[in-house]
Amino acid sequence: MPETAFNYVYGNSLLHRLDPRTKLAAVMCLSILVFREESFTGMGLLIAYFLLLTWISGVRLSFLLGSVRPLLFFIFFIFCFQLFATKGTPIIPLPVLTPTYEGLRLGTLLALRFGLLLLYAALLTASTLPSQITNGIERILRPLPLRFLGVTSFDLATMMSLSIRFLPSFLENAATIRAAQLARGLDLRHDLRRGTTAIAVPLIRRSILSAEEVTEAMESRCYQGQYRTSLHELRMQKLDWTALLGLGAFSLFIFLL
Amino acid sequence: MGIKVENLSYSYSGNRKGKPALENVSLEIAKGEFAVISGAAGAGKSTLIKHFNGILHPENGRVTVDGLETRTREVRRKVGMLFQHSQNQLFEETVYREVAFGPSNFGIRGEELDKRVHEALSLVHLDAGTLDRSPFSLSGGEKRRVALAGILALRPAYLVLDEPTAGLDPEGRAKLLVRLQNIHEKGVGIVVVSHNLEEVLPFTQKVISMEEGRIMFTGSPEEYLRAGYSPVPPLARLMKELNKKGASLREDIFTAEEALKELQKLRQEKPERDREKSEKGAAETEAQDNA
Repeated sequence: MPETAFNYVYGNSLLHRLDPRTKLAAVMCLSILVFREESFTGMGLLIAYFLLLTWISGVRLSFLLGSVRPLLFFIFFIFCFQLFATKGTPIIPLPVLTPTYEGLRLGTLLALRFGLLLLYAALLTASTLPSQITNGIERILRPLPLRFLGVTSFDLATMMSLSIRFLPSFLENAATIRAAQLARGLDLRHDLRRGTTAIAVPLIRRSILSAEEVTEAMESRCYQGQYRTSLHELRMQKLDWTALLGLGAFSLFIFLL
Repeated sequence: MGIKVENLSYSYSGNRKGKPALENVSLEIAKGEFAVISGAAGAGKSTLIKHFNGILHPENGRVTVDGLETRTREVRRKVGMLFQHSQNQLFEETVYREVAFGPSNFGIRGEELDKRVHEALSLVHLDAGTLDRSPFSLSGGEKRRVALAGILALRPAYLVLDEPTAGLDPEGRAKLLVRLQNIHEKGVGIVVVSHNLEEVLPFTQKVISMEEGRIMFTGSPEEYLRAGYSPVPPLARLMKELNKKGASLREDIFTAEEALKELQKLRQEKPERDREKSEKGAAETEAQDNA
């Protein structure tokens, strides 16, 4: 497998050693900050904070930037839309589409927003093993009264780790089915709607069937989805509280700015 | 003419440093030929055939079909390809629409489309009653036949099948191969990828054997067996074993009829050979005495 977006990067930095719950909380908190930030100063601070965390984590910046690449087109589109669709003082008077200063400002902010969201998420996945993220989410959800809905946080955790585990085979199936339909003369450039059905229907069907197989294989090995204990119980350390405190101070600063 | 592969190399992206999936492969499959590509898992068989209809494009080298570059869309129609687990590619609401999918992608409509669907269905021995059924209500073997019909409706000049018999019961396997032979008799070139050589050998004219992304052997089934490659089909192995015991039989045999003919020879030869053997034995003892 080539290096892809949102992969774990092996390391032993402060960031790697933090409790996954701390990091999940941090990503949530930072996402809220990113979304409600309206000024460039605040945005600049959030970028600086991201760079600081990246430096601490020891993950290559270019690796994290790679996570944004698949959505670059989307971000660019949003930027252009804002640039041309916002009313205000025109930069250059053009007949049909007029770029405005207000649009430029709004577009840049939005593009930065999406970029930062992705980058913070990439930092989380780069410094935390998927199983650790699952553990963290499970532990956060544990106090919720989920059993009234018929599930436990352990079920959810199993579901999550299974979905992550089967992502590569899902992609492989997608590639196989795509090749098969191309061989039958499907032309994706000319008939996108039909192409989507021709690929999605067999893919979803195949996925459900293999999910069923996995369920049976798990049941035949006595999986019951009850309360399960873990070898490495998560424990918040002094480091975690310090990190959260630091984050809290930073958030307050941004908030009051 | 035919499918022509010249010095083809290919490695999957992200694995450029590792071993390429195909390394300097050259081969030719003539019009109307029945060829089998054999080799262990990971030998590059599936990667190779994906070049025949332009699903993959060569990194180095050249692939042409009847002189056409594989980037042209016409090649997709000329080379019908059925992948492994073809039952997984079905998606339409009825068998009719499923079979019609391919030709309609090439702009075939109306009566001509109807004719092709019926023709393709009869080639795989499904009766017209299944046309209005959902393909998902069919059995696994029937689904495969619908998938094959979907390719045949394109009226390809070449039919390429990746492990078509995998997962079928013995009867289903035999029937499928006979159906392929019938299609072959209509002038369609057939390429079968298989690691179960013995069942395909009786039908083929050409064996292409691959190993680690290279072609090790190309020739007729008889030549393949004589060249002593493994795996050796059971009948050829029987002949080999008998020869070890002193018989002198042809080892390039893969059909029951041929084997029977050879074994009958054994009965006529027997007295003669016994005499030979005792003479040979005497000579040996003599030689030992001299030493």
